[in-house]
Amino acid sequence: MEGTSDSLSPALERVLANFSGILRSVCWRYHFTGDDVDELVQEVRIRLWRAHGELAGASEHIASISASYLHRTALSAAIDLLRRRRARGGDRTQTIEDQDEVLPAASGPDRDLEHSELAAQVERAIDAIHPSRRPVVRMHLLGHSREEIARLLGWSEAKTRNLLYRGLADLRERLLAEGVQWTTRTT
Amino acid sequence: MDHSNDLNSIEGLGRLYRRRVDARNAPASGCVSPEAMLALLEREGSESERLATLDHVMSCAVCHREYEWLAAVGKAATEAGGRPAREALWRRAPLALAASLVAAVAAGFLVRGQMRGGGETVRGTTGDIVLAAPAAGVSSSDAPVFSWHPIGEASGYVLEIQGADRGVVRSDTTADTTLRLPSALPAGEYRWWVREVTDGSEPRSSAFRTLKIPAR
Repeated sequence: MEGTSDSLSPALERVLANFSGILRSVCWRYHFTGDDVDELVQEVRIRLWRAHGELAGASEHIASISASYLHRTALSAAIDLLRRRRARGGDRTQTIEDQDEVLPAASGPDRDLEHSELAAQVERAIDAIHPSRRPVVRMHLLGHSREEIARLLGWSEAKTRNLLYRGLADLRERLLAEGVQWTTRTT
Repeated sequence: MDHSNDLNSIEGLGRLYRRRVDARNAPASGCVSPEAMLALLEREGSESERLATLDHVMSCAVCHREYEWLAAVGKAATEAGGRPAREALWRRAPLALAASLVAAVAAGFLVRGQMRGGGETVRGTTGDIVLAAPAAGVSSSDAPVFSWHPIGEASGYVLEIQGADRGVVRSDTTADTTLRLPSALPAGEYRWWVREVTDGSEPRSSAFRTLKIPAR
């Protein structure tokens, strides 16, 4: 068994080094912290070890695991981490911005109140959009690209663009009904 | 009240909305389960269920962060998983297969050379991605190797293949400029394109190129 473990380690570490390097790069783009990455990589390490550690030719198994297998293992580990964090409560995934706690750029209480009222009006207008278009509008406003929306929902680019623009037209109409003038172009 | 700063662009409206979502930074009773978020990412379940999940995720700061986390993990695993698989293929490939792959790569360079001479209409600006192989039209393989020219400062690329109805049939992310499909495409007519991975900004992309997989 020790021989198996010794030969397994380099193969396992190669897979994990590749995965964690890319995960760090992706997480940096998403603004997640290194702690999240470390915890997940450790979880994936344990799962791969448990699944392959006692098999004959374990290092061969590890070295040749497919993209879909690693994908499933990593996502199921990530789901378990989220579940555990939710169970603990108040300890959910943090971004760099959470740690840095940037103060809003508002210049005073009046300005805050004004923005808060306006944001509430925008939210009410969004809530009134047709349900098939509403999530697309929300995603767009949160900065997700049309390509990401199309990929996530399995829609064509044309369908995504169509529903987004109709949703934005709905939003404009609802904002006008709220008494808010919105005369913007929607690229 | 003067809302001109926030309502004179879609970006301003987005800032207002993000501020509103961020203000609700505590788990709510309506929060969706991690499994529902995974189903959303994996496109499992009915569209109406996924839209309902998405609607909550995009209006709850806590769920949105968890969604982004799962999306990041899935993306990293896909990118990382592709590399060992390719290395394993090379280790095991018999000489004949290795020779045919070398020929395919050489053909790719030939195509690149021809394109440098100017033979393809590319959409957009000069900074966009130029496709290399497979050439437009009928493919000799049902699992072709896709390649394109690198562009400066791109951290990764997304290859997307669309079916005749323009629906996405394959989508894969790589840090490389070549990508081999893990499984064959069914016979049919497709078009494919490549875009760079960005953190939300408008990506540079290629033109579409046709691809036909003949019935065998």
